[in-house]
Amino acid sequence: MKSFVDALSTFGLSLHEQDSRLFASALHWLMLGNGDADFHDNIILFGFREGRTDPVLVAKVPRSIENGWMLQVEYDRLVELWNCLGEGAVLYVPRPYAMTILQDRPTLMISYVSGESLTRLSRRSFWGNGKQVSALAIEAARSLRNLNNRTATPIQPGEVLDSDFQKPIDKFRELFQVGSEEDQALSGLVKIVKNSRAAASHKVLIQGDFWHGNMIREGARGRLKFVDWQFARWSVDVSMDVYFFLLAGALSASGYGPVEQRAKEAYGTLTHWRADVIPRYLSAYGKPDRYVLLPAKYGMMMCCVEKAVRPALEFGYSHPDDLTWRYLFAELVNWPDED
Amino acid sequence: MQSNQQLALHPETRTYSYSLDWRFLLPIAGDAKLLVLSEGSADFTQALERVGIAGLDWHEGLSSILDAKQDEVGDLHGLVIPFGLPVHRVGIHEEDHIEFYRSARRLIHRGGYLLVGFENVWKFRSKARFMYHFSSPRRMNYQLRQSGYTSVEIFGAIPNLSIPEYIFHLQPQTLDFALRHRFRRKAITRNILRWLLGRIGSSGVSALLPCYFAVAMA
Repeated sequence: MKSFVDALSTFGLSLHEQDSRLFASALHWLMLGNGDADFHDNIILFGFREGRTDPVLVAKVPRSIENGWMLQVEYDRLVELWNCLGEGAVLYVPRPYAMTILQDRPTLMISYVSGESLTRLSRRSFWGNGKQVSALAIEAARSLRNLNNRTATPIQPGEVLDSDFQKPIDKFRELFQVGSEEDQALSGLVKIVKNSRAAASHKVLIQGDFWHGNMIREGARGRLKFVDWQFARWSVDVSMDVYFFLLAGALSASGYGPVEQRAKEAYGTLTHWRADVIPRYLSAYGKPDRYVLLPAKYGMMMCCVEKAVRPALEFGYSHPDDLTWRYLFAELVNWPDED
Repeated sequence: MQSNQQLALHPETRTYSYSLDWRFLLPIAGDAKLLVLSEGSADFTQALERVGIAGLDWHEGLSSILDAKQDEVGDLHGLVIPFGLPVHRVGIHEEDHIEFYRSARRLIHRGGYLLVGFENVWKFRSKARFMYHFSSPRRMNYQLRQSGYTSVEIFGAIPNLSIPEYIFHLQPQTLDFALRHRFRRKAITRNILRWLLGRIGSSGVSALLPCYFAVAMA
């Protein structure tokens, strides 16, 4: 019986593109354990060819077999994205090679995106610097808008999208003790989301986890590329992607204290960014007329709700970060309406 | 905001102190028969249960190994000793280790694997030194070959055996990638490593990693 890495090598060597084999020589592997020891996360295997410095192949494998659906989603959405973007997709996202089962384990094979992830941007020197944050935000907003416009597709008669925003709201109420003010905010949010989405004529492919940790840049001036599409979906509403970038950045700018404190600090950062970073970011994204972008307050609250209940809804467990999003939601109830 | 905003926890809320990612170096299909020997903490045992791998504590495991008959061929596709040989169960001498690995081979199916995790003999400050025998890639390779295993492959592991962020073939490209990414925000360490790579090459630096997994075919 072969080891899993040997089975991976054999499969890698069988990959073809336009009638020619992608890799002719044996692959060496490096395994990256994502998410520490979280059994709901994936491991990522980077395949190297002799004499090449960078990996030539990436394999994503779930630590728990039951989470293979995530990788199937990532593969399907990447295929759709490549269909929309054509060969130009290589400038933005990895190329999907194959989704297969190896030794009972769902395995996604994609191309390697060279460069550095922005995960470890410094809390003080980067996120504390409004000019640098603005520059990244504007670039991210333009790239996102470009991707959104290129995937925008008319909604077909009878096509149902985003039908169950009530579900995360209900789960939020179930998981957390919600005060009356927050309860009202949740009810108001449902109405606003529902009304806004009813007016959309197009759907777009949203990434679903659009934060700097899923962005890769090659060199100091390289183009931003986007990885980890396992939460991607078709939606008439881009608010999740647009505002998640801001919220994740604000949380990265906060310290390492208790979650409630981090949420307060993130809210402070967002308030600070309200004068400059957020308007420039939203202006760079622009106002979509065929699909939906919620006003900042509601878009950010919606993100918090989705993030706070995602592990519970998708995996049936609670993640330590859920509380951070829950507390940040509570802070955002106080965000001024006029945005 | 309310003061009491508790999370209504779902049944599985915890993460473990062990990632068990070494299992991807072995056959992992549902019908692969794996056995892990450890001095198991409760957390480690529960993590094994979580992923459906059988575990035995050393006391029991050692008896099975020592009781195995000379000509016996076992049915395991993988025998795993994730933290190495415990100092109070296996003697200090090289012959003791070779004899242990030779006996362990009798539990493994032909073509099956023995996986041994170990810390580098240079890790003077590690507390695990008092619990497990440390080794080196060269020494482990020698011992496993002397014990009759047909092939031995050593993988580097950074930063530790419990939750290694990187596990990799000991090749120049993989080593370079792991070190570059692991220490991308630590300029001093990165520069020292770059200097070392220039002085002693990747094979020299490979011998200085904190931990390893040896995978030997029976």
